[in-house]
Amino acid sequence: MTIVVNARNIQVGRPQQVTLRDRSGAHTELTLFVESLPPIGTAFDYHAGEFDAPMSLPAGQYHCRLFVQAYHYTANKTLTPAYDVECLIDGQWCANAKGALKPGSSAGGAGDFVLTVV
Amino acid sequence: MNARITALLVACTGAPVFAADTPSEEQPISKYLVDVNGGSVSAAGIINLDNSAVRTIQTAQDFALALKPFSSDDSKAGVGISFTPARTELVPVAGSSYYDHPVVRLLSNLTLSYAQNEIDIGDATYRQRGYSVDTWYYFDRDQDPAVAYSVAWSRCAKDTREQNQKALAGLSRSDPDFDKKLQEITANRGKLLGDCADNAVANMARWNAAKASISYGDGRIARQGTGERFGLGRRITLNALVGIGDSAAVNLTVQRVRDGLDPQ
Repeated sequence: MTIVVNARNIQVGRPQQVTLRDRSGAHTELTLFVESLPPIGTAFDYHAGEFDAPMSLPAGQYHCRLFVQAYHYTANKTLTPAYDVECLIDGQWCANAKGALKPGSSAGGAGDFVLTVV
Repeated sequence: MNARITALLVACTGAPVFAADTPSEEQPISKYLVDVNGGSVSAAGIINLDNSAVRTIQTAQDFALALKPFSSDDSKAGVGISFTPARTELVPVAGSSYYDHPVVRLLSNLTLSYAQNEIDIGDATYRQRGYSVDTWYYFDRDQDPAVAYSVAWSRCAKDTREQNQKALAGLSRSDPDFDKKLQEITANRGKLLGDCADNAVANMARWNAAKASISYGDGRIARQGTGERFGLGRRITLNALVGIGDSAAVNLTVQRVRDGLDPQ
Protein backbone atom coordinates (compact mmCIF):
# COMPACT_ATOMS: atom_id res chain seq x y z
CA MET A 1 0.00 0.00 0.00
CA THR A 2 1.30 3.44 -0.93
CA ILE A 3 0.79 6.47 1.24
CA VAL A 4 0.02 9.63 -0.72
CA VAL A 5 2.15 12.42 0.67
CA ASN A 6 0.96 15.90 -0.27
CA ALA A 7 3.78 18.41 -0.54
CA ARG A 8 4.19 22.07 -1.46
CA ASN A 9 7.12 24.40 -1.97
CA ILE A 10 7.74 26.97 0.77
CA GLN A 11 9.97 29.90 1.52
CA VAL A 12 11.53 30.53 4.92
CA GLY A 13 14.10 32.73 6.64
CA ARG A 14 17.14 31.83 8.72
CA PRO A 15 17.68 29.84 10.89
CA GLN A 16 14.94 27.24 10.44
CA GLN A 17 12.96 25.01 12.72
CA VAL A 18 11.71 21.66 11.39
CA THR A 19 8.64 20.17 13.03
CA LEU A 20 7.51 16.60 12.40
CA ARG A 21 4.06 16.01 13.80
CA ASP A 22 1.68 13.11 14.20
CA ARG A 23 -1.84 14.00 15.26
CA SER A 24 -3.14 10.46 15.22
CA GLY A 25 -0.66 8.65 17.41
CA ALA A 26 -0.46 5.78 14.96
CA HIS A 27 2.78 3.90 14.56
CA THR A 28 4.46 6.12 11.99
CA GLU A 29 8.00 6.97 11.03
CA LEU A 30 8.83 10.28 9.38
CA THR A 31 12.17 10.93 7.73
CA LEU A 32 13.04 14.25 6.13
CA PHE A 33 15.92 14.47 3.69
CA VAL A 34 17.22 17.91 2.78
CA GLU A 35 19.53 17.26 -0.16
CA SER A 36 22.66 15.56 1.12
CA LEU A 37 22.35 16.64 4.75
CA PRO A 38 21.93 13.95 7.40
CA PRO A 39 18.25 12.91 7.59
CA ILE A 40 15.96 14.28 10.26
CA GLY A 41 13.72 11.53 11.45
CA THR A 42 11.57 10.35 14.27
CA ALA A 43 8.92 7.79 15.09
CA PHE A 44 5.55 8.32 16.70
CA ASP A 45 4.53 5.03 18.06
CA TYR A 46 1.59 5.27 20.39
CA HIS A 47 1.20 8.87 21.36
CA ALA A 48 0.45 11.76 19.11
CA GLY A 49 3.44 14.01 19.23
CA GLU A 50 5.71 16.57 17.82
CA PHE A 51 9.42 16.46 17.13
CA ASP A 52 11.40 19.66 16.63
CA ALA A 53 14.85 19.96 15.10
CA PRO A 54 16.83 23.13 14.38
CA MET A 55 18.37 23.71 10.97
CA SER A 56 20.60 26.54 9.75
CA LEU A 57 20.66 26.45 6.01
CA PRO A 58 22.18 29.41 4.16
CA ALA A 59 20.14 31.23 1.53
CA GLY A 60 19.37 29.12 -1.51
CA GLN A 61 17.06 26.46 -2.87
CA TYR A 62 17.00 22.95 -1.46
CA HIS A 63 15.26 19.86 -2.78
CA CYS A 64 13.62 18.05 0.10
CA ARG A 65 11.81 14.75 0.47
CA LEU A 66 9.65 13.53 3.34
CA PHE A 67 9.23 9.78 3.74
CA VAL A 68 6.17 8.61 5.63
CA GLN A 69 6.02 5.00 6.78
CA ALA A 70 3.16 3.61 8.80
CA TYR A 71 2.71 0.21 10.39
CA HIS A 72 0.02 -1.61 12.24
CA TYR A 73 1.24 -3.73 15.12
CA THR A 74 -1.01 -3.47 18.13
CA ALA A 75 -1.82 -6.05 20.73
CA ASN A 76 -4.81 -8.15 19.73
CA LYS A 77 -5.62 -5.62 17.05
CA THR A 78 -7.25 -3.53 19.71
CA LEU A 79 -6.76 -0.40 17.68
CA THR A 80 -6.81 0.34 14.01
CA PRO A 81 -4.11 2.95 13.49
CA ALA A 82 -5.14 5.97 11.53
CA TYR A 83 -2.19 8.12 10.54
CA ASP A 84 -2.28 11.88 10.27
CA VAL A 85 1.19 13.32 9.91
CA GLU A 86 2.77 16.50 8.68
CA CYS A 87 6.06 18.27 8.31
CA LEU A 88 6.39 21.98 8.98
CA ILE A 89 9.32 24.31 8.60
CA ASP A 90 9.09 27.52 10.58
CA GLY A 91 5.43 26.78 11.12
CA GLN A 92 4.59 26.42 7.43
CA TRP A 93 3.40 23.01 6.33
CA CYS A 94 5.36 21.54 3.47
CA ALA A 95 4.21 17.89 3.47
CA ASN A 96 1.42 15.87 5.03
CA ALA A 97 -0.39 12.54 4.79
CA LYS A 98 -3.59 11.21 6.25
CA GLY A 99 -5.31 7.84 6.06
CA ALA A 100 -5.90 4.50 7.75
CA LEU A 101 -4.08 1.20 7.55
CA LYS A 102 -5.59 -2.22 7.20
CA PRO A 103 -4.99 -4.42 10.23
CA GLY A 104 -1.53 -5.94 10.23
CA SER A 105 -0.34 -4.02 7.19
CA SER A 106 2.39 -1.49 6.46
CA ALA A 107 2.58 1.37 3.98
CA GLY A 108 5.07 3.92 2.76
CA GLY A 109 5.10 7.05 0.67
CA ALA A 110 7.23 10.05 -0.20
CA GLY A 111 6.59 13.68 -1.03
CA ASP A 112 9.04 16.12 -2.64
CA PHE A 113 9.15 19.86 -2.21
CA VAL A 114 11.54 22.74 -2.75
CA LEU A 115 12.61 24.77 0.26
CA THR A 116 13.72 28.30 -0.50
CA VAL A 117 15.77 30.02 2.18
CA VAL A 118 16.01 33.80 1.93
CA MET B 1 -40.20 -6.26 41.71
CA ASN B 2 -38.96 -9.33 39.91
CA ALA B 3 -35.29 -8.96 40.52
CA ARG B 4 -32.61 -11.03 42.12
CA ILE B 5 -28.90 -11.18 42.44
CA THR B 6 -27.93 -14.46 40.86
CA ALA B 7 -24.25 -14.69 41.52
CA LEU B 8 -21.70 -13.36 43.91
CA LEU B 9 -18.38 -14.95 43.32
CA VAL B 10 -15.07 -14.30 44.93
CA ALA B 11 -12.25 -16.37 43.56
CA CYS B 12 -8.64 -16.45 44.58
CA THR B 13 -6.20 -18.46 42.54
CA GLY B 14 -2.48 -18.87 42.66
CA ALA B 15 0.45 -20.64 41.10
CA PRO B 16 0.57 -23.42 43.74
CA VAL B 17 -2.64 -24.81 42.21
CA PHE B 18 -0.58 -26.03 39.27
CA ALA B 19 2.45 -27.09 41.19
CA ALA B 20 1.38 -30.74 41.45
CA ASP B 21 1.10 -31.11 37.67
CA THR B 22 4.32 -29.39 36.87
CA PRO B 23 6.88 -30.64 39.35
CA SER B 24 9.95 -29.97 37.24
CA GLU B 25 9.16 -26.62 35.71
CA GLU B 26 6.42 -24.61 37.33
CA GLN B 27 4.61 -22.31 34.93
CA PRO B 28 3.08 -18.98 35.97
CA ILE B 29 -0.68 -18.95 36.19
CA SER B 30 -0.90 -16.50 33.31
CA LYS B 31 -0.02 -19.35 30.91
CA TYR B 32 -3.17 -21.16 31.91
CA LEU B 33 -5.66 -18.36 31.94
CA VAL B 34 -7.59 -17.66 28.80
CA ASP B 35 -9.97 -15.07 30.15
CA VAL B 36 -9.90 -13.43 33.53
CA ASN B 37 -13.29 -11.78 33.08
CA GLY B 38 -15.69 -13.54 35.37
CA GLY B 39 -19.37 -14.02 34.53
CA SER B 40 -19.46 -11.82 31.46
CA VAL B 41 -22.70 -11.75 29.49
CA SER B 42 -22.74 -12.57 25.79
CA ALA B 43 -25.57 -12.69 23.30
CA ALA B 44 -24.65 -16.28 22.41
CA GLY B 45 -24.63 -17.24 26.08
CA ILE B 46 -28.12 -15.86 26.64
CA ILE B 47 -29.60 -18.21 24.05
CA ASN B 48 -27.19 -21.09 24.73
CA LEU B 49 -25.59 -20.81 21.30
CA ASP B 50 -22.16 -22.30 20.80
CA ASN B 51 -19.49 -19.60 20.53
CA SER B 52 -18.18 -21.15 17.30
CA ALA B 53 -21.33 -19.88 15.54
CA VAL B 54 -20.45 -16.28 16.39
CA ARG B 55 -18.68 -14.31 13.67
CA THR B 56 -16.34 -11.53 14.69
CA ILE B 57 -16.55 -8.45 12.49
CA GLN B 58 -13.39 -6.52 11.67
CA THR B 59 -13.95 -5.28 8.13
CA ALA B 60 -16.80 -4.08 5.94
CA GLN B 61 -16.61 -7.40 4.06
CA ASP B 62 -17.07 -9.24 7.36
CA PHE B 63 -20.23 -7.20 7.86
CA ALA B 64 -21.70 -8.28 4.54
CA LEU B 65 -20.91 -11.94 5.18
CA ALA B 66 -22.09 -11.87 8.77
CA LEU B 67 -25.43 -10.28 7.94
CA LYS B 68 -26.25 -12.81 5.21
CA PRO B 69 -27.66 -15.51 7.54
CA PHE B 70 -29.92 -12.92 9.20
CA SER B 71 -31.58 -12.04 5.90
CA SER B 72 -33.52 -15.30 5.92
CA ASP B 73 -35.93 -16.03 8.76
CA ASP B 74 -36.12 -19.63 7.58
CA SER B 75 -32.66 -20.47 8.80
CA LYS B 76 -32.79 -22.81 11.80
CA ALA B 77 -29.05 -22.74 12.34
CA GLY B 78 -27.89 -20.53 15.14
CA VAL B 79 -25.83 -17.54 14.12
CA GLY B 80 -24.27 -14.64 15.95
CA ILE B 81 -22.12 -11.61 15.35
CA SER B 82 -19.70 -9.82 17.61
CA PHE B 83 -18.56 -6.31 16.79
CA THR B 84 -16.00 -4.12 18.52
CA PRO B 85 -16.16 -0.85 16.54
CA ALA B 86 -12.70 0.36 17.56
CA ARG B 87 -11.11 -2.82 16.21
CA THR B 88 -12.46 -2.23 12.73
CA GLU B 89 -11.48 0.00 9.85
CA LEU B 90 -14.91 1.58 10.14
CA VAL B 91 -14.22 3.43 13.39
CA PRO B 92 -10.45 3.84 13.73
CA VAL B 93 -9.26 5.08 17.11
CA ALA B 94 -6.06 7.07 17.41
CA GLY B 95 -3.55 5.62 19.84
CA SER B 96 -3.04 9.00 21.46
CA SER B 97 -6.75 9.38 22.16
CA TYR B 98 -6.80 5.88 23.60
CA TYR B 99 -3.87 6.70 25.88
CA ASP B 100 -4.97 10.16 26.98
CA HIS B 101 -8.71 9.77 27.53
CA PRO B 102 -10.29 7.23 29.93
CA VAL B 103 -13.63 7.55 28.17
CA VAL B 104 -12.06 6.66 24.82
CA ARG B 105 -10.44 3.58 26.39
CA LEU B 106 -13.81 2.54 27.77
CA LEU B 107 -15.54 3.06 24.42
CA SER B 108 -12.72 1.45 22.43
CA ASN B 109 -13.20 -1.80 24.31
CA LEU B 110 -16.96 -1.75 23.80
CA THR B 111 -18.24 -4.91 22.14
CA LEU B 112 -21.73 -5.35 20.75
CA SER B 113 -23.04 -8.82 20.01
CA TYR B 114 -26.22 -10.35 18.67
CA ALA B 115 -27.25 -13.98 18.28
CA GLN B 116 -30.32 -15.92 17.22
CA ASN B 117 -31.36 -19.54 16.84
CA GLU B 118 -34.35 -21.84 16.89
CA ILE B 119 -35.15 -24.50 19.45
CA ASP B 120 -37.85 -27.13 19.68
CA ILE B 121 -39.67 -27.52 22.97
CA GLY B 122 -42.28 -30.24 22.86
CA ASP B 123 -44.17 -29.85 19.60
CA ALA B 124 -43.50 -26.16 19.31
CA THR B 125 -40.65 -24.33 17.65
CA TYR B 126 -39.31 -21.19 19.25
CA ARG B 127 -37.02 -18.52 17.89
CA GLN B 128 -34.57 -17.03 20.38
CA ARG B 129 -32.78 -13.73 20.05
CA GLY B 130 -30.19 -12.24 22.34
CA TYR B 131 -27.97 -9.20 22.39
CA SER B 132 -25.29 -7.88 24.70
CA VAL B 133 -23.02 -4.92 25.25
CA ASP B 134 -19.82 -5.07 27.27
CA THR B 135 -16.62 -3.20 27.93
CA TRP B 136 -13.71 -3.17 30.34
CA TYR B 137 -11.35 -0.66 31.86
CA TYR B 138 -7.85 -0.96 33.33
CA PHE B 139 -7.36 1.24 36.37
CA ASP B 140 -3.68 1.80 35.54
CA ARG B 141 -3.48 2.68 31.85
CA ASP B 142 0.12 1.52 31.61
CA GLN B 143 -1.13 -1.95 32.55
CA ASP B 144 -3.60 -1.96 29.70
CA PRO B 145 -2.23 -4.65 27.34
CA ALA B 146 -2.65 -2.38 24.31
CA VAL B 147 -0.55 0.34 25.95
CA ALA B 148 2.07 -1.98 27.47
CA TYR B 149 2.52 -3.75 24.17
CA SER B 150 2.96 -0.51 22.30
CA VAL B 151 5.57 0.80 24.71
CA ALA B 152 7.65 -2.39 24.31
CA TRP B 153 7.21 -2.26 20.56
CA SER B 154 8.31 1.33 20.25
CA ARG B 155 11.47 0.71 22.24
CA CYS B 156 12.49 -2.01 19.81
CA ALA B 157 11.47 0.11 16.82
CA LYS B 158 13.68 2.96 17.97
CA ASP B 159 16.71 0.69 18.28
CA THR B 160 16.39 -0.40 14.64
CA ARG B 161 15.46 2.90 13.00
CA GLU B 162 18.91 3.88 11.73
CA GLN B 163 19.03 0.92 9.34
CA ASN B 164 15.78 2.11 7.78
CA GLN B 165 17.07 5.65 7.36
CA LYS B 166 20.15 4.41 5.53
CA ALA B 167 17.99 2.44 3.10
CA LEU B 168 15.77 5.48 2.47
CA ALA B 169 18.79 7.72 1.92
CA GLY B 170 19.87 5.45 -0.95
CA LEU B 171 16.62 6.01 -2.87
CA SER B 172 16.60 8.30 -5.87
CA ARG B 173 13.47 9.79 -7.49
CA SER B 174 15.10 9.33 -10.89
CA ASP B 175 15.12 5.59 -10.31
CA PRO B 176 12.22 4.17 -12.37
CA ASP B 177 11.63 1.64 -9.59
CA PHE B 178 11.47 4.31 -6.89
CA ASP B 179 8.00 3.41 -5.64
CA LYS B 180 8.69 -0.31 -5.81
CA LYS B 181 11.93 0.05 -3.88
CA LEU B 182 10.25 2.26 -1.28
CA GLN B 183 7.59 -0.38 -0.75
CA GLU B 184 10.30 -3.02 -0.43
CA ILE B 185 12.15 -0.97 2.16
CA THR B 186 8.89 -0.38 4.02
CA ALA B 187 8.04 -4.08 3.84
CA ASN B 188 11.46 -5.03 5.18
CA ARG B 189 11.07 -2.47 7.90
CA GLY B 190 7.64 -3.91 8.56
CA LYS B 191 9.12 -7.38 8.97
CA LEU B 192 11.67 -6.04 11.42
CA LEU B 193 8.95 -4.26 13.34
CA GLY B 194 6.91 -7.44 13.19
CA ASP B 195 9.73 -9.19 15.03
CA CYS B 196 9.65 -6.31 17.50
CA ALA B 197 5.93 -6.96 17.86
CA ASP B 198 6.45 -10.64 18.55
CA ASN B 199 8.99 -9.79 21.19
CA ALA B 200 6.71 -7.14 22.64
CA VAL B 201 4.02 -9.75 23.31
CA ALA B 202 6.35 -11.27 25.87
CA ASN B 203 6.58 -7.91 27.59
CA MET B 204 2.90 -7.21 27.81
CA ALA B 205 1.22 -6.06 30.96
CA ARG B 206 0.63 -8.24 34.01
CA TRP B 207 -2.00 -10.90 33.47
CA ASN B 208 -3.68 -9.88 36.71
CA ALA B 209 -3.61 -6.11 36.25
CA ALA B 210 -6.48 -4.42 38.09
CA LYS B 211 -9.46 -3.86 35.86
CA ALA B 212 -13.23 -3.65 35.86
CA SER B 213 -15.73 -4.80 33.30
CA ILE B 214 -19.42 -4.31 32.81
CA SER B 215 -21.77 -6.16 30.54
CA TYR B 216 -25.47 -6.02 29.80
CA GLY B 217 -27.54 -8.50 27.87
CA ASP B 218 -31.16 -9.18 27.02
CA GLY B 219 -32.97 -11.98 25.22
CA ARG B 220 -36.37 -12.85 23.80
CA ILE B 221 -38.01 -16.10 22.85
CA ALA B 222 -41.03 -16.24 20.56
CA ARG B 223 -43.18 -19.21 19.59
CA GLN B 224 -43.33 -19.62 15.84
CA GLY B 225 -46.71 -18.95 14.33
CA THR B 226 -48.49 -17.81 17.49
CA GLY B 227 -46.87 -14.52 18.34
CA GLU B 228 -46.30 -15.56 21.97
CA ARG B 229 -43.21 -13.84 23.33
CA PHE B 230 -41.26 -14.18 26.55
CA GLY B 231 -38.17 -12.54 27.95
CA LEU B 232 -35.05 -14.58 28.60
CA GLY B 233 -33.92 -12.16 31.26
CA ARG B 234 -32.13 -8.85 31.31
CA ARG B 235 -28.71 -9.37 32.82
CA ILE B 236 -26.20 -6.88 34.05
CA THR B 237 -22.81 -8.01 35.28
CA LEU B 238 -20.14 -6.07 37.09
CA ASN B 239 -16.72 -7.62 37.43
CA ALA B 240 -13.60 -6.43 39.15
CA LEU B 241 -10.21 -8.07 39.17
CA VAL B 242 -7.41 -7.09 41.53
CA GLY B 243 -3.99 -8.68 41.28
CA ILE B 244 -2.04 -9.88 44.30
CA GLY B 245 1.64 -10.09 43.51
CA ASP B 246 2.54 -11.86 40.28
CA SER B 247 0.73 -15.10 40.78
CA ALA B 248 -2.68 -14.46 42.29
CA ALA B 249 -5.79 -12.42 41.76
CA VAL B 250 -9.11 -11.74 43.40
CA ASN B 251 -11.99 -11.75 40.95
CA LEU B 252 -15.35 -10.40 42.11
CA THR B 253 -18.44 -10.73 39.95
CA VAL B 254 -21.94 -9.50 40.68
CA GLN B 255 -24.69 -10.40 38.24
CA ARG B 256 -28.30 -9.30 38.39
CA VAL B 257 -30.98 -10.92 36.28
CA ARG B 258 -34.49 -9.54 35.87
CA ASP B 259 -37.54 -11.09 34.24
CA GLY B 260 -35.69 -14.31 33.53
CA LEU B 261 -37.37 -17.33 31.95
CA ASP B 262 -35.82 -20.75 31.50
CA PRO B 263 -37.49 -22.26 28.41
CA GLN B 264 -36.16 -25.72 29.27
